Amino acid sequence: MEFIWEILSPFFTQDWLRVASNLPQIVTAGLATGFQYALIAFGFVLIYRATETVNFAQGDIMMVAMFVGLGFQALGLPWYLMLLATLIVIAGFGALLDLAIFRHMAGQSPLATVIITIAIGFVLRLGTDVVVYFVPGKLPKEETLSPPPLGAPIDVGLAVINPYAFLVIGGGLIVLMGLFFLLSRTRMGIAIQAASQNQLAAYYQGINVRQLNTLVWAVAGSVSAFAGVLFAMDPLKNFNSSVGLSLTGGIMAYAAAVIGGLGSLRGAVIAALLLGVVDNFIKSLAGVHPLISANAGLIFLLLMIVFRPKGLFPQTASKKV
Amino acid sequence: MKFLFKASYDDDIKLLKHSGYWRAAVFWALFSLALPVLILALGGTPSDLIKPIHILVLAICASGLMVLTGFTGIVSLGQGVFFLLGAYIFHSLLKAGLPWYGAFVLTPLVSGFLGYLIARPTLRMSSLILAIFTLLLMLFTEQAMKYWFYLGGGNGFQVPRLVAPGNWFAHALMWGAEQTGYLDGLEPRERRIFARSASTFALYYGALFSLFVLIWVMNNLMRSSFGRILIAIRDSEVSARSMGVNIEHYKSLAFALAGSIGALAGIFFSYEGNWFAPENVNIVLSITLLLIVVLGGLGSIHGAIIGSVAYVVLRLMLFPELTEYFNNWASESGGAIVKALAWFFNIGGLGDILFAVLVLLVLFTEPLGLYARWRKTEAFFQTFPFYRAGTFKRQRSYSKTERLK
Repeated sequence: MEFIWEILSPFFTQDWLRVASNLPQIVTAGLATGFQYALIAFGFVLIYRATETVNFAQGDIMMVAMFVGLGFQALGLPWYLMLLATLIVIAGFGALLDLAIFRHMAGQSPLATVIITIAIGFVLRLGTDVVVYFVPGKLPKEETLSPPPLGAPIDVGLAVINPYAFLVIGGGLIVLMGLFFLLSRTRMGIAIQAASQNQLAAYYQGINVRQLNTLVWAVAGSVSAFAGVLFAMDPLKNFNSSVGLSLTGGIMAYAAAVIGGLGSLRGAVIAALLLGVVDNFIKSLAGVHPLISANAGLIFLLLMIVFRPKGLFPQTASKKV
Repeated sequence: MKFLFKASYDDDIKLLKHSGYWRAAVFWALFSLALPVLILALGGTPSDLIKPIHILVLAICASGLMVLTGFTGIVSLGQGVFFLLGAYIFHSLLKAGLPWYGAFVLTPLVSGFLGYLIARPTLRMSSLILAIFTLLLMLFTEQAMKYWFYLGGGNGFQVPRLVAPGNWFAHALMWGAEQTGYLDGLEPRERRIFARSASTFALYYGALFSLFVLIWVMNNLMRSSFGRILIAIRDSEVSARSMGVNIEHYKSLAFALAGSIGALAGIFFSYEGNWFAPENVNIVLSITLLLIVVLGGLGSIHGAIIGSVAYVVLRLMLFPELTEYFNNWASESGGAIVKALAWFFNIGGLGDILFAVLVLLVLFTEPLGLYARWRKTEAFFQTFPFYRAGTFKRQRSYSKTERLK
């Protein structure tokens, strides 16, 4: 009983006026985190929709992108060229993964595919460590990418906002809107949607589903590469090779994809943003029990799954006989 | 070749179908019973028993997961939850003053009930959501156990000396030592060491007998209607439902069974060291349990045991040996390649990564794990000149999509 009161009491004794005055700041910081999750979750859902592969290596692909970006930066490229080069390299890497492995997994049991993605994640992490060790000139193991020149924190009247948050929110918005446009307006996007709804029917319509799947892997790879570069530009955080399957990286994004209603791109993005904001909001409250504040996002996700197991935008009808 | 003459319908479902089964069962029972004696005879110390004990503990826990993943087809990354809960519930009950056997019986029951509760909201989830749910649950439990202040919170707690299930066993050892006059020649320090070894032996035999009972119970359960129903659910939920199976009920029961077996393993696991803290069971162990089950082979109790033997031998015995070997070599002669190798083996978490890669390779060549390979080798020798590779030809099973909208 005492324990329950200890957990609940801060919500009653909170100085809500102070919280409200900080709200713009909390929300922008939350959205910044949320967009990072959203970009990873987008790639995750895109692959799931197109190929029904649950790709637990998505976070590790993002991690590889960070280090590739770091390499390009060490070569002396300015940030926009670095971003472009990273996107292209990781897109190629994603396509390669599909050509080498996942194309041949069609028809195997889903469990085998899941375990293979987990193992690939491990291999990527190990490979990164080894490469970083052997690269001449020694890339530092924990680093941040230098962001584009951003200037000082901006005072928007209600709050002082870190320009990095603007970078993530702006970049995330542009990329996500571009992707939604790509999927809903272009021939290629329509073909991807058709193939993800019914592969066989898409085949009969003359769509080359295999090529399309490779393309989907490439696009998903480059989206998470974008997330990785944004993630790595955070001036407050260092990163290392284990970020892919950590509670601040991959896992939250997968969970966001799930509570979005797996297979719904819109749902995944909204859930990821919600997750970022809720997490930041709970953390900013005063006197919350450390168990709650340290795991706010986790608890939010668990509760969401328990109370809405079908997700925000359900994609599957239950199996009926 | 062996031809079986079946004289009754019971011959089809007997556990030990012919003399070969009997021989194997007797051999493995005697081998595992004699293992501690063998280790001592070969010049080992009682502390060398920790590795075999770990195999037994993992085998118990993995066979719990096997019920869930191998038989019911529910992919759970959260078996570690029950592992952890088992240890904590058990030692809380002990601390509250329950007798040892009382706590030993009560813990799996409580944990099984918790498993049933956890299963309720997960029943309508698709398998993937469930996998992520269990992953998150494991991450949360890991954190939450730091606030179990009754047992020391994040610092963990001192594990009391094991008196039972080897109560009679440890005492018999001590009594025997006293009667033969062995203890009289020892100093107090050596006496304490002897008592400690006695409790290690007790732990080994306690875990071993639990595993024996578990194997017997599980094999019987899996040929009963309960087990058949679980397998039917795994193979096709839709057809199981149309045969009149209450899927929700049986999935919850499978969760409860996995939970109580996991808790049983947790009890023995807590006795492996003399200090137990929440970080002893982490997400890596939880994922490793799934890998063990997959490596051994889904759908048989053999798989859980073979998988845990492979894990302990490769990951916990061979890998540290290799690391030490290269470290020594690097410190003696400073060649660049040797140094790089030594560095490679010292990467944090390398062992787990290599194990995952091994599982990946096995999965590629043998989707049903090591046990399937064993069965094939067996068949090769049984049918010696007439073995056809086509007998076990892999069939592609095109799984139906879960997206039915």
